[in-house]
Amino acid sequence: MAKIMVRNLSKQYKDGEVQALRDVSLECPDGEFFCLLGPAGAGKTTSIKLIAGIESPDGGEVFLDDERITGVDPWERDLAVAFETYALYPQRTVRQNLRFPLQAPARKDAWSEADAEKRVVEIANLLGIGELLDRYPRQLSGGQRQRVALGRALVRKPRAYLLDEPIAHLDAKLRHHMRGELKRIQRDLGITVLYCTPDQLEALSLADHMAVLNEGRVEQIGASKDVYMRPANIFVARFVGDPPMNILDANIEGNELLIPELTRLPMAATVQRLLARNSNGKTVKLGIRPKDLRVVPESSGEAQAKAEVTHVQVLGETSVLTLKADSLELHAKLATQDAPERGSNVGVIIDPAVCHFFDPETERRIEE
Amino acid sequence: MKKGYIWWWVLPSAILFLFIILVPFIIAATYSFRALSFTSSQAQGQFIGLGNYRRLVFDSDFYNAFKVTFLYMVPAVLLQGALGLGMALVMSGAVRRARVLVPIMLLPTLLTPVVIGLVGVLTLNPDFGVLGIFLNRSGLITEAMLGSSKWALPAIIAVDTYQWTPFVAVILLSGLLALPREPYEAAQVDGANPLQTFFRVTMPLLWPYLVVAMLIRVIDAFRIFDIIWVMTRGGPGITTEAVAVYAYRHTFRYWDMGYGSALIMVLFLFISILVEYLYKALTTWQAGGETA
Amino acid sequence: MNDRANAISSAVGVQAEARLRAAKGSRRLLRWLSYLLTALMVVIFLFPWLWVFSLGFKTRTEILSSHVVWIWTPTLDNLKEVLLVKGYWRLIGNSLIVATAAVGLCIIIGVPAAYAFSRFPIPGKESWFYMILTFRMAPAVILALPLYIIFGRLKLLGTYFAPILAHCTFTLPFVIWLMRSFFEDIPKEIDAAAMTDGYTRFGAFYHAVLPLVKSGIVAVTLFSIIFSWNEFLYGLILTSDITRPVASQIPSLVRPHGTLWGEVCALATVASIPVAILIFALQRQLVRGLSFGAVKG
Repeated sequence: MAKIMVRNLSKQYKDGEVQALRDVSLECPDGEFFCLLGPAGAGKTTSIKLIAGIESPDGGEVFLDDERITGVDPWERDLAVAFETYALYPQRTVRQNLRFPLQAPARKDAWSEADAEKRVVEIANLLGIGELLDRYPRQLSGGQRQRVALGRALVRKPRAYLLDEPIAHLDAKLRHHMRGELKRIQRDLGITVLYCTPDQLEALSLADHMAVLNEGRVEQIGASKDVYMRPANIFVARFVGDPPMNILDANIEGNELLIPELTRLPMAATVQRLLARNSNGKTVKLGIRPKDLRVVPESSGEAQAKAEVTHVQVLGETSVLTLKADSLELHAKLATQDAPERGSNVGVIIDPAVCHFFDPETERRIEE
Repeated sequence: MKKGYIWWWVLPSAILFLFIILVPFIIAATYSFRALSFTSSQAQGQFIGLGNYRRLVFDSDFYNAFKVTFLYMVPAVLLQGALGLGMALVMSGAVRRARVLVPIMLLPTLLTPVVIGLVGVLTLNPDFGVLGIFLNRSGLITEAMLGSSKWALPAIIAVDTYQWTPFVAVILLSGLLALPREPYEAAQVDGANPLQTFFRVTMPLLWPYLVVAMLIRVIDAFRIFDIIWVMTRGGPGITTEAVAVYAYRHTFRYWDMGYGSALIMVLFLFISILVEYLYKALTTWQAGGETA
Repeated sequence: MNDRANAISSAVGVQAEARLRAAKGSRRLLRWLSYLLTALMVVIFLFPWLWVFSLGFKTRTEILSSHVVWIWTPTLDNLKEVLLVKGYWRLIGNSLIVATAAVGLCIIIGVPAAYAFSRFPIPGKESWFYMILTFRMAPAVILALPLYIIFGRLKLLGTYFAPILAHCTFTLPFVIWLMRSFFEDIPKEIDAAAMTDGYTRFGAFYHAVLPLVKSGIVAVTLFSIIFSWNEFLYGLILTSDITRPVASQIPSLVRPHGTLWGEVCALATVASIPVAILIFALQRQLVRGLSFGAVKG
């Protein structure tokens, strides 16, 4: 297994019209599950293509185990790729599709007929497509095809795996199962996996480390916990975590934080120190996760502000409330059994200790 | 990708292209500026600049060749377009059921042109030809068409139409069969009569197919040789001498290579201008769907 | 208010339904009419051609009679005379040799070139393609003279090499043009998948992409054979009596006087059979080939 590193990668398409990657640098340590998280168009697939060698970067370098592989042909890089669009060989059966990588001239000696067949069956059974081995891709459903694409990548034993949204088109239950399987395999075998996904929950659950990408730029790199607990900027704060973090404008007035239309918060000393660091000293963006926004009965004395419950979305054990205070809209998450009725008025408590603060101009996190 | 790797793929084709297309073309171009003729002892390859081209401008046979070509092309292309459209419309229902009709219909187009020319000669023979006998007896055309300066060109047009109408028809047929149903159903509910449906719904959707087919036919009109050669050899006189036949006369009958090359160059220029339109039509169509 | 609107819309609905039903009825009539007309057109188109072929099996008197002879006992004399006695079966062999050699050569070198045009960035791609199309559409007479001179100098006139190479002037452009359109239909990710699986670019081309354009290659091959078989001018100019293809010989047999029609027709019939077979073999790809790949039939 190998570690993957890219430095200052940039790539543009259509003569500069589309800047897919801007100065991207990241490192996926050996034997780790590394996620590239980002919305559509963030540059995840482009990164995979550049690392695999399918395309060449306009700038920057790609390293595999400290060995520079920029410019090396894809067939010499010993990486396995699972494509988002499957790219299955239509004229071959599933079995032949899975066999194909093992029969490549470069590797023919490594795999005997018997070994190859065994491996194919093993992977097929792992992915639940064992019975489909003699079917053709056109006879399979989308979910089955996607598993064949994943299987084709897994069937080899390369230096690292590059998986581009490999389970995006499976139904929820199967996806959940596959996530578990992939993580288990990765851990058991200590393989290096670079995994692309637009699903932040998936990234959080799978990744040892992750990189959050947006419009070709790296917004944050870190362990899942760090990215969630200490998002580096407003984009990451809102992208990671569901429902997205509430971001409010706040004015600093002396010892208090004035959130227009909502409340005044007395600032603890640490918070004051934090805010001395921001760019204009007058306003700040305050972020609070829905689960940290406390909702209490209107009559409660603790309540700092009042709001009306305009919508209640029941998600099983928890529910998401949409609260409105004048023109401000907030989301809160709490246990369904404690959820108030739609249309009722409630009290809201914001604890500065659990708030995230962002510079209003750079949108970056204000650290202590 | 290493530099120069592409050459491995393209080199053999490039070499062949160079030797059998580009080099001959350049040779022809150079000859067009020389006086070179196997039959004239004076013309031994000396450089004469635009002499051949000047001669072209004053050559009445040259203009005749173009005249003949246009006199053939315009009726032929229009006929083929109209008949082809009619055929396509009539046949669309039947073809849907029996796709084998398509190859059957295309037999005239794809069989050897000289054979089609032979068919023309025989059919129109006034003494024993299937059509010729009828034309003769009924008094419509009592002379041998191919020997008559009045009827030779129409005979060529007829045979060419026989050969190429199926081509136009089949292209339009593919267009027809690929048409979506919704506009027709909407037109029906709106109470449009067949004529309105045809002009407002069918024609706009078929237009790109028609354009490509017609363009191909127009360019082909400058190529026509085989049929004319079998049927009339360009005669009687030069009444059916289209440009390609005329060029042949000067190159392979008179062996006047300098002049012939100049003719060839002018012909090529003409064709390349036309091909530019065809190229645009084909590539926009291939790339962007049927909105040429 | 609502009732009135409902009444109107239901009235319109009823009218539309009635129109549809009437249209359906008249449509069925139209459809049978179209079948009839189609059958008529097929007969009209096939008839002259079938009649000419029948002449190959008639005696001289039967052919020249001023009444069309519909029923007769076919004779193989013309066939025997023209093929065996005059030895013209060799012409058919020549056509075969020239066609297969030219097409074989152009396929072997043209298909990879078409792949390169589809997959690689080639400078001036559009200009090359325009040139390819122009030479495909140019009449044979343009290149016939210089080729005659070149082959004359190389002492290749009268050999098979001359017509074979000459046929490549239109076969190679055709192959590259059409194969490129077939390659463009294959997603480039298949190449990428094969290359990351460990196949070189050529390996990806050969093992992953080529099998997917198999039917395209067959179509292009058969089409090219047809065009080569039908070619007249190069075959006439660049060959000798020994190496001449059949299509180039037929016009010389048609003379102002004294043409042996029976024999000519017999020869034409035999010469046309291979083409007819190929046409039916190509059924599905006919439109695509004829329209230069633009119409996907």
